[in-house]
Amino acid sequence: MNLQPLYDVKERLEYAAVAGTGLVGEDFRLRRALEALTPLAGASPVLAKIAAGLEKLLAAPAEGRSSALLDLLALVDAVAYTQAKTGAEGELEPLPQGGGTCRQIPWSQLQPLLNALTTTGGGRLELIESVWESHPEFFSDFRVLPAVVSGLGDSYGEIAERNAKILRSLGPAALPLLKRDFDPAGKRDMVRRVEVIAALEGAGATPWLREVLSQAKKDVRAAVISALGGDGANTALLLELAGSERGKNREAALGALARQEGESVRAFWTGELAKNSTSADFLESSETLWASDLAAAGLGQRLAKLEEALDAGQEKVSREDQEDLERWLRAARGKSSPAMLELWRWADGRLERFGRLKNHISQPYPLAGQLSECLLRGICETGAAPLAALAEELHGRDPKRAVYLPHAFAAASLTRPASEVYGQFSPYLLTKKPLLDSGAKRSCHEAMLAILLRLRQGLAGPLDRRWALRLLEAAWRDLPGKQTWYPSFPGGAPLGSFEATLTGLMDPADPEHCRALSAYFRRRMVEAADWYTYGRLVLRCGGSPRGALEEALGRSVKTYYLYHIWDFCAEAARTLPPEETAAILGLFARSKCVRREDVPQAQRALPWTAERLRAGEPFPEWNDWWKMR
Amino acid sequence: MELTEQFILLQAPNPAAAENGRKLSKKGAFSGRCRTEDGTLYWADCAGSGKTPYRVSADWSGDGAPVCRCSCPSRQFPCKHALGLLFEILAGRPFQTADMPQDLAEKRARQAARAAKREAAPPKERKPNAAAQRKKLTKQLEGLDLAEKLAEDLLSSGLGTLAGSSAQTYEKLAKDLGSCYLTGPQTALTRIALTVRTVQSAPDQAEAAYEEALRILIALRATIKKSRVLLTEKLESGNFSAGDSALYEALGGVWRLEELKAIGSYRENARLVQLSFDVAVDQAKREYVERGWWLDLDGGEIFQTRNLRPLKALKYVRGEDSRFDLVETPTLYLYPGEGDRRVRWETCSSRPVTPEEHSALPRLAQPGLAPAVKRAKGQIKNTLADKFLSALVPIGRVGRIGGEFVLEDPAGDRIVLRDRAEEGANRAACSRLALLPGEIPLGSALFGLMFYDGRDRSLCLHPYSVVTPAEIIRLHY
Repeated sequence: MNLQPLYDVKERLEYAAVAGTGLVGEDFRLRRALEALTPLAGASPVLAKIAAGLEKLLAAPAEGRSSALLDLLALVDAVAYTQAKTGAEGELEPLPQGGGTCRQIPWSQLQPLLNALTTTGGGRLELIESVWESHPEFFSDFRVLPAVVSGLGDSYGEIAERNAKILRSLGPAALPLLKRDFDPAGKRDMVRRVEVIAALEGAGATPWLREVLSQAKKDVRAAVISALGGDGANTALLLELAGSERGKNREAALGALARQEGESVRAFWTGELAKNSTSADFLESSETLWASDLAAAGLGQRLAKLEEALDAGQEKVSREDQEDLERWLRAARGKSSPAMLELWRWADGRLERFGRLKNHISQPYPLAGQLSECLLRGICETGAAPLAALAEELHGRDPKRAVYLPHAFAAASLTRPASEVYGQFSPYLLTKKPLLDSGAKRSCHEAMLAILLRLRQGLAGPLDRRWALRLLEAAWRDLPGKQTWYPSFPGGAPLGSFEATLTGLMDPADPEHCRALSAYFRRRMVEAADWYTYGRLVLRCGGSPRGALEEALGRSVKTYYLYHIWDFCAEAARTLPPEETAAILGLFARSKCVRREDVPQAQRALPWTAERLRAGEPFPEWNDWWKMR
Repeated sequence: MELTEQFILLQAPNPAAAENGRKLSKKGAFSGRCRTEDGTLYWADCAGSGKTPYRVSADWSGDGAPVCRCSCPSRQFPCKHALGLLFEILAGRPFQTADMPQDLAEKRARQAARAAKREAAPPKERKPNAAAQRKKLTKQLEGLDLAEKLAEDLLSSGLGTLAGSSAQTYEKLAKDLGSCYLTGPQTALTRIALTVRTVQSAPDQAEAAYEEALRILIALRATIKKSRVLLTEKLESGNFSAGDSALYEALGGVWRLEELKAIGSYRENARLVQLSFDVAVDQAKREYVERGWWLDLDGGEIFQTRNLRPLKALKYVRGEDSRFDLVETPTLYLYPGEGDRRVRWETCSSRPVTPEEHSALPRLAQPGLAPAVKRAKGQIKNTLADKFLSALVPIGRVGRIGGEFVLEDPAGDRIVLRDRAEEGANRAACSRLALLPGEIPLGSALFGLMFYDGRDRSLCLHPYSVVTPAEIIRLHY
C-alpha cells in the first residue's frame, strides 16, 4: 500500500502545530491531504480512524483543536513507526580495519583524555602528558588514536608536536589512520602526518610518498620531498626535483639529497656548491663521506685563498668572506673523512699565520680560534673515532702547546678510562706556580680549566673524581674574562668559572669531595660575606654552615626576603639533624639578615619553627610562615 | 582484598578526586605508612596545606569497599588523601606492620556497633498520611489542568511563537507545576521551551527541534490524560500507594527501594555485565545523567541504570563510572515500565567475568533482527515510552553500502547503523566501527539503540558496543 497520503497528513499536522491550531480551519493543504487519505481509509481500519480524526479536527471548535491535534498526531506517529522500513539494498562492502587496540578504559579516564585531545582551552597539555606518563597504552586504543591523529592539527602547537611524538612512539599502529583521509593540499597537520609516517616507515614510506607527491602542494610538498630523503632509492627522483622545484621545495630536495649516497649525488653537489656556496648549509647535517670530502675541499679552498692573500700582504677579510668561511666551518664540523683529517693537519701548520688576519673593521679576526672550536665541537658532539685519534695526534706533535690540549683531553675522555685520562692530563693543571716556562705552562693550565668547565656536565664521558680535589689546589683559578654562572637555587650570587666548575664536578655521594669542598665553601662564605650562596653549597656537600655562618652573617650587610631564609632552612632541614637546623634558625633570629618589612613575620616564624623541630615535628611549608605575616 | 586501579576509580566521588589522589601518591606526599598484621587496616600521614599532616586510613574490616577516614576538612568522600592512600597500596609502597592506633580501633568498634544495631532493628513501616495524600492528589489534578491549558495555549498560538521572552514566561509558568507535585510535566514543558529556543541559535535545525518539541507535547498529552484517570480513581478509592505504573515516574515521582519491593518489582540474585556507559547533561532538569546499559546474564534482558547528579550538588554526589567486572547483587530492584527498564541495587559485589561467561554473552542476543525490530516498533509506538529501544542483535556481517554502515544478521536481514541525532555528537559511534582493530569474530552481537529516523522513515540502530565471545568492545565508554 502506498502510504504517502498518510505521511502527507503527518507533515501537515506538524506544520499546523508550529503555525498554531487557530489556522487549521483555513489550511487547504490539510484538507487536500484528507482527500488523498480517504480512498485508503476503506482498506485499513486504522487509516479510517485517522481520516475520521482529521475530519473531527477540521470541524472542531478552536478551543478543542489542540487536544484533537495531539491525539491525532499520536495515532499517525504510531502508524508511521509500525510501518518503518528496515534494511538496505546493495552489495555490502567490508569495513576497513583500524590499527589500534581495544582497551578497557573507564569513562573517568577516557573522557577527559578525548576532551583534551579534541577540544580547546587551557590545561590540556598537562593532562595529555600526565596520561602519557601513567598510561601510555591508552593512546593506542582505537577510540583515542583517531583523536591523536586529528590532534596533529591542534591550534596549540605544543599539543600538536606532543601528539606527533606520541604517534612516533606508538609505532606502526597509527599508520592506517595517518594515511586515511590524507589531504596533500592541507596545512601544518598534514605536514606533521608526513613527518610521522616517514619516521615510522623509513624507507618503506617511499611508495606512499611518491603517490602523494604528484598532488602535494605548498608545505606538504616540501615535507614529502624532505621525507623522500629517507630512502636511498629516491636519489634519481630527488636529483630531478632539485632541478625542477623552486624555493622551499628545492631546499627540501637539497636537504634530502644531502642524505643520499652515490657518485651521481657527489657530482650534483660538486656542481651545486661550485655554483652556490650558500648550499654548504645543507652539508651540516649530512653524515656521508662525499659531504665530508666536499666540506674539506670547500673549506680548504677558502683557507688556501686566505693564505695566498696573506702572502700578498692582504690581512683584511671582507664581511662576505667571513660569513662564507663560517658557513663552511659549520659544514665541516664533525666530519671525519681522510680528506677532512688531512685538512686539519694542513691547517695546524698555518694557525699562527692565520692569527695575523683582520676582520672588515681591522680588528683581529679569530680564525685560529674558530678552527680549534670547530674541531673540538666536532669531537664532543659526534665522538667520531678518527677525529679523536686526530686530536691526540695533533696534540702529540707538541704536547707542551695549549692549542690542542682541550681536544686531546676530550678525545681521551671519550675513549679511555677516566683514571688513565687523569693520570695523563692532571699534570697540566698546576698546583704550584712554575719557576720556568711559566707562560706556556699557564696557557696549558688555563686550557685545562676551560675544558673542565665545559665538560663538567659529563659532555664527553665521566671524569675522574680526583679532578675536583686537584682543582681546589689549582695554582691559578679563574679564567681570563668576566663570565659568570648562576647557581641552581633561587637568589644565589653568580659564581666565577672556577667555582662553577667546582660545583659541576662535585659528587655529593663522595665523602672526600664533600669534606674538602665543604671546607672550601665555608671559607668562601666568610671571605665573600655571602652566607646565602656559599651556605647553600655547604649544605649540598652535606655539611653544616654553622660556625662560618655566624661570622658571615656578622659581616654581611645584605638583607634577604624571608622566603629565602625559609628556603635555606628547608634545605638545611633535609640534610641536617633537627637540633642543628633549630640552631641555624636561632642564628637567623638574632641576625639582621631579614629585610625590614619581613622582620615581624620572622620574629614569629623562626622561634616557632625551631620549637617545632625540637618537638620532632617536620619542617613547615612556606604557606605556614606566610600565614604569620 | 584485591585492589585494582578500576576499583579505586569506582570509589572516587569524581574523576578529579582520583587524579588528585594519584598525584599525591606520585609526588610522595605520604609518610608513616603502616598496616595491621592481618592487612585489613592501612594508615599513613599525608602532607596537605595545613600545618600538620592529615591522618588517613583505609579499613577493610567490612565486606566490599573499604571505609576511608581522613582528618582533612574535605566534604568529598572519600577525599583525595584517602584515594591517594589506596594508590599507595596499589603501587606496592612499603607499609610497616604496626599495632592498630587506639583512635582507629575505637572508630572501627563504633562502626561495627552501628551496623549490628541497623541489622537488629526491624525496618520502619511508613504509614501513609491519608489527608496529606488526598491533598496532594487534589493538587496534582489541579496541576494537570494547568499543564493541559499550557499545552493547549501553546499549540493554539503555535510552537513557532515560543521564542525569546515568551519562552521565558512559559518556563516561569511551567515552574508552577512543581508546586503541584508535577515535576514530570514541569520538566517536559521546560524541555519544550529549551528545544524551541535552539531554533533561534541554529535556524537550520528548526525542523528537528519542532519535531522533538511535538513528540514531548504528545507524550505530555498522553501523560495528562492517563494520569487524570488514575489520580481520580485513587482519590475516589482512597488508595494512595504508588502502584505498579510508569505514570508515577512520568508525573515526577521518585521510587524508593522499599516501594519497589512492596509492589514486588525486584529480582533476587542477579548477575549483570555492563555493555556501555555514558554521561550526558540534562539541561531541563539541570543534572548529569550517568547511564549504564546492563545485560542480565540469566534472563538476557537489557536494563539501564541512571545515576542522576544535580549540577548544584555535583561535588557531593558520587559519580558512576564504566564497570568491566561482573556485578552480582542479592536484590535487583526494577522500575515499572516496559523495555529498557531502569534498575537499582543497594549492595553488590563484583568479580572478573570468566571466559565461559564472556562466550555466553553474544548468545543472549535476540534470535535475529526481525524479532528485535518487531519489539522496537511495539515499544516506540507507545506515546509514554522513549522513542528508542535497546537491542542486542546477532552479527552476520557489518559493512558499508553507499557510505551507510549496515548490519546483516546471520539470516541475511539488514538494518542501517546510524547515529541518533538526539544523542549528540559525543555519542557518535558509527565511524568507530571502521576503526575496529580486527575483524569482528563469528558469533558476535551488536548492542545499540533502535530508533525511528523520520528523514527516510526507517528504523535504524545506533551502535554502542560489539559483544564478541571474548570481550565487549565499547564504542563509547
